[in-house]
Amino acid sequence: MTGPERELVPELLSAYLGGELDAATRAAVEARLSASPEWREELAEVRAARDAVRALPSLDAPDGFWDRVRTNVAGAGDEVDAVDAAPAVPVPLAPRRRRHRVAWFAAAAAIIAGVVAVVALPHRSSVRPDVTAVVSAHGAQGSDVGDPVTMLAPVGPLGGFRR
Amino acid sequence: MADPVPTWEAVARDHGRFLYSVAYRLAGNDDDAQDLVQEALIRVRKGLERYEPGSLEGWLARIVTNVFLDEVRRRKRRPTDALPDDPGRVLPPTPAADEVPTGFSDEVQRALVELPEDFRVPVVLCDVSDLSYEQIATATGVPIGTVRSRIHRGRRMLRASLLAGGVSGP
Repeated sequence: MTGPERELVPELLSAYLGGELDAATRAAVEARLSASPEWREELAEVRAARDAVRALPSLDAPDGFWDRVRTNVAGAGDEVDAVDAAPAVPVPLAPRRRRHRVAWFAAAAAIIAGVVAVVALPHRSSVRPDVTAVVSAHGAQGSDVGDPVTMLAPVGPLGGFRR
Repeated sequence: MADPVPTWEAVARDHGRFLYSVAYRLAGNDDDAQDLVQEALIRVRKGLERYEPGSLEGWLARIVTNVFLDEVRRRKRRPTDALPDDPGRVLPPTPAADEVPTGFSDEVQRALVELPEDFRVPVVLCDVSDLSYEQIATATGVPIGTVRSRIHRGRRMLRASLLAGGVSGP
């Protein structure tokens, strides 16, 4: 380390912790540490942060992950030409993405099935009482003139148009 | 005689936990970590013929970091996608079965993910991947002086975040 880096700055403290300084700079940092409570405090801070990250456990991927990866990587090797070459567009992991696709397909299928059921299936009236029977029995009597054409007129009194 | 170049299947088998751990520490959640590992292994598969036996885990860390940074850039171009540093996406890690996690793992991971990528990446490469400053400079394409500065400032930010969250020690 030469030049401006010999001008001691606190940012050297992490490099000091990591053994990344040359002997001369290391000695200069140690001299400053012995003289400066602020430097010692900052060293303690970055040491604690470093130790916290280094204490993090290594992690196991979820069950089944490696089997899926082996399958996907074996089948996806031709898209990328070289390390660091093409921009990375991560190949989606099949099972996780498939969950989303299955959900979309299920929703679409449910909608289509509903439409088909409404449009194509034979209609059976579930209305009680049966409308046709009521009209046959009471329509003529309820109409103003009592003929078959106006049988379809409202049975009850019209509230809005007649006064 | 130099060690033979491993197959990508052997890399996945022997270094998978390392790859996944680095990916998780960078991304902060399991979904993104899985994508990063898979994409990294695709690049490993295509790049193994050019791999020169040496620090395999350093090489792997570089690849997964590049995949992560590519993904960060891609998502920044498409801001509707949640970014990997979105703290809301942090999931509790799954410690390896043979390791005993510290009591503060979740808090440390959260503080790590809150760091901007420029600081998080060198901190992870240094303290999770155990790369030298020179290796980190090569992996990230920034001068070694910048690496030194970012690691130091990243650790200070991380420490401040932990203290703000009531965590005084690992």
